Amino acid sequence: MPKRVLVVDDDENTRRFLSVALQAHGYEAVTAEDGDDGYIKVQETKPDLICLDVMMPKKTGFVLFKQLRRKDEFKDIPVIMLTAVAEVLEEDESQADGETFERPFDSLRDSLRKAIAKMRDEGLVKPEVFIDKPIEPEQLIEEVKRLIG
Amino acid sequence: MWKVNGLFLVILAVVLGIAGYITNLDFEQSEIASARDLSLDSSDRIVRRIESLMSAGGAHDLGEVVSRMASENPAFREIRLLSHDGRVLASQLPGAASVDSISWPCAVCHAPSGQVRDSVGCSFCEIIEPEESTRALSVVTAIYGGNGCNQAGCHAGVSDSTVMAVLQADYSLDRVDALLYQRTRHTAIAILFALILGSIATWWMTERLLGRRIRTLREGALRLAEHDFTFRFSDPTGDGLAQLASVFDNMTSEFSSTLLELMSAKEHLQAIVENSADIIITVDPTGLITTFNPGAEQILGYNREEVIGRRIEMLFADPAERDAAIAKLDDMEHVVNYLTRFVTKEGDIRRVMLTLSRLRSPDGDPIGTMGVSKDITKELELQRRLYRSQRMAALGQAITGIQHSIKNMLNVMKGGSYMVKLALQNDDRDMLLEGWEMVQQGIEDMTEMSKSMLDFARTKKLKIKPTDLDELATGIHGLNQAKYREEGVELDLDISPGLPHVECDAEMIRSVIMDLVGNALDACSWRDYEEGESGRVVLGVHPGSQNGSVEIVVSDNGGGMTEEVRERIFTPFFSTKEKKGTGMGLAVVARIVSTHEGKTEVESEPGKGATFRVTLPTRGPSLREE
Repeated sequence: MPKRVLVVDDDENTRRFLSVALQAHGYEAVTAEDGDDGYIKVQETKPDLICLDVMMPKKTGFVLFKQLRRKDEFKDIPVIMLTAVAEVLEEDESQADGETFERPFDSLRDSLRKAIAKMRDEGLVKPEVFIDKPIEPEQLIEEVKRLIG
Repeated sequence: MWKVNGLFLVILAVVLGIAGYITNLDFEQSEIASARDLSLDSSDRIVRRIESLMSAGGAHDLGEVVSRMASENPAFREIRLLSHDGRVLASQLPGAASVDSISWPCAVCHAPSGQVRDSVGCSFCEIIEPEESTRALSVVTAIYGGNGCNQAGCHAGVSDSTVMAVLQADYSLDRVDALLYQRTRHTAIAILFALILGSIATWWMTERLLGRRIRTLREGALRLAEHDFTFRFSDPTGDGLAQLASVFDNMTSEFSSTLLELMSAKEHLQAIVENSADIIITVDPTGLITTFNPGAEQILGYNREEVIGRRIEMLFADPAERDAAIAKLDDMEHVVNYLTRFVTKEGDIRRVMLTLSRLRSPDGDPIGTMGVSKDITKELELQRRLYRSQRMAALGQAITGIQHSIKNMLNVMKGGSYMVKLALQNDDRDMLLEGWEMVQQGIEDMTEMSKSMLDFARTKKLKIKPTDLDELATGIHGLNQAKYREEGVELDLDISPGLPHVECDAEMIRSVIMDLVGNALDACSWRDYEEGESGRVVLGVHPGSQNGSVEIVVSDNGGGMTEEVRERIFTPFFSTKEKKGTGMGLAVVARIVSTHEGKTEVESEPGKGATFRVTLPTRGPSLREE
C-alpha cells in the first residue's frame, strides 16, 4: 500500500510535476487546487503527508494548515510548506528588526512572518519543512522520504 | 510779557496822576475860598474905615490910612484907593498915587461902552497875576456916599449911594501857591513811589507766577527734546498755567509711553534681526551693504565690518542671479523664495531661498532693499538623499517583485525540465511533451513579463477623443460577468445618468477599468468568506466632486489591504499575488491616469474591501504624449 501524498497548489503545472515526481518515487499523489478543495481532499483521502502551497485563493495555505492542526484526526499529518520566501524562517524577529540595510517591503515575506508568529502565539506546531520555490523535485522527494519513509 | 507790564504801569501812572490832580484842584479851590473870605472880610473893614474918614472930611489922610491898613494886613500885597474916575488916590506902595485913567477896577463894573453892567453893587473878587508866576486875589469894593460921583447916569440904580471911591486890595496868594506847590510835589513823589512799588509788584508777580514756570516749561521741553521723560512739574496749583503744566505733563507721559512702545518694538525687531538664524541683509539704493546680521555672519563667514559699505554682488555666486532678482523686484515690489546661490568667505556655495522687499521712507521714497535668505543647502542635500533613497527603495521593491515573478516562472520551468529528464529516462513521449510544454510555458511567461516591462517604459501616443464612459463601463461589465460568475463573485454596474463625454484615450481608459475590475475579482476570490457571504464588486461612473470631472469607482468587499500594501500598490512590480500577474497593473493604471491629468486614489482596510477611485477631467489632458 503506497503512502499517499496530497499536493495543494493553485498552479496546475506545479501540481502536475510534483505528482509526477511523487509517483516516480512510488507515492500515491492526490491534488487539490485551493484551500477549500484541500480540506475536502484531506477528509476524503486521509493523506500521510501534505505538500501545501502558501499563497492560494479562497483559503491560503496557512489557513488550511491551522484548520488541520486544530483537528485531532489531522494534526499529526506532516506538512511541507511550499513558498517563495522560505528564508523568512531562518530569521528570528530581532534580526529582522535590526537589519542595517533596509530591505524593500515584501508582502509575501510579511504575511509569512506574521503567520508564523501567530502560530507560535497560538501554540501550534509549525510546519515540519519549508521548501523554497523554485522547487527542486529531488529535494522535495528527499524530505518526503525523511518524513514518511 | 514785558509789554503787558509796561502798559499796566502807564495805566497806573495816569490813574494816580488824575487822582492827584483832582485832589490838588479841590485843595486849591478850598484854600482860595478861605483866602477870599478872609480878604473880603479885611477889605470890608478897610472900606468902612475909609468911608468914615471920607465922611468926616479927612480925605487928606487917606494915603496914610491906606499905608497903615496895609501894614496891619501883611497878607495884602497892595492896597490902593481909586477915585470914581480912575485916579489912584492912595496906595501903600510909594509913588503909586497918580492918575491911572480907567483902570481895571472900573472895568469891573463898567462895560467898555461905558454902560454899567447888570450887577447889584460893585464888589468883586478876581484872581489876577500882577507879576509873572505871582497870583493874587484882587478884591474891588465900591465906597458909597457923598456927592463925589458926577456920573449919576451910571449909578442910576444906586442914586442915594453915590460911589465916592473904589478900593482895590490885592490879597497875596503866595501862601496858597506855596502850599499847592508843596502838595503837588508830595503827590508826584507819591505817584513815583506807587509806580516803583507797582513795578516791583509786577516784576514779582511775573517772576513768581509766570517767569519761573515758563522757565521750567522751557527746561521740560528741552529735556523732552533730549529724550528725558522723567521731567514733571512739581506744584500744579489749579490756575491756567497749572493746567498748561498738567497738559504738558500728560503730553510728556503719553509721549514717553509711545516712545517706550516704539523703542520696545524697535528692540523687538532688532532682536529678531540679531537672533535670526537666517541671513538678513539690507542695502542702500546704490547696492552697498548697510546691515549684516549675525545669522549672515554665521552662514557666510564674513564679519559685519568686512562687508558693511561693500557691494552686495560680492555675496552672490553669480551676480547675474542678483540682477534677475532685482528685476523681478522692480516688477512686483516683492520677491518671495527666489532660489539663488551665495558664496561664503571660504568660497563655498550656499543655496538660499531669498525674499526681497523694498525699504521706503515715510514719504514713500526708496531708501534701500532688505533681503532675508534661508540657507537650504542642507535641506537640498537631505532632499537629494531622500529622493535617492526613495528611488533605491522603489528599485528594491521592483527587484523583489521581479524576483518573485522569476521564481514562479523558474518553478514551472524546473518542473518541466524535471519531467523532460524523467521522460527521457523512462522513454515516455507523452511526459516529454508535457514537460516540454511546461518549459515553454515558463518561456512564454518570461516573454510576457519582459513585454510588460517594455510597455511600462515605452512612450505611447495618446489618441484623445470624446468618450462615453457609460458605454465603456457597460461594455466591460458585459465582458466580465461570465468570468465573475465562474468565481462566484457578483459584478454590479452603477452609472449616474447624463454623464458628460470625457476627452481621453478610450483604449487606455478601458485597460484601466479592466485592470481595476480584474484586481477586484482577485481580491474577492482570495478572501475566505463567512457562511452566507459572497464576493461583490461595483463598477460605478459618477460626476466628480470637482466641476468638469468624472469619477470611475471600483469597490469590492474582498480581503482589503494593510497600510504597507496600500502604500506600495502603485509601485512597479509590487505584487501580493505570488503566482499571478507581474505587479505592473496598478503602476500602469496610475501612469495612464496621471497622463490624462487625473488622479488615482484608494481606500482600504484589511478585511473591509477596497475602493479605487479614478478621477478624470472632462476637458482632457493638455499633454497629449505619454
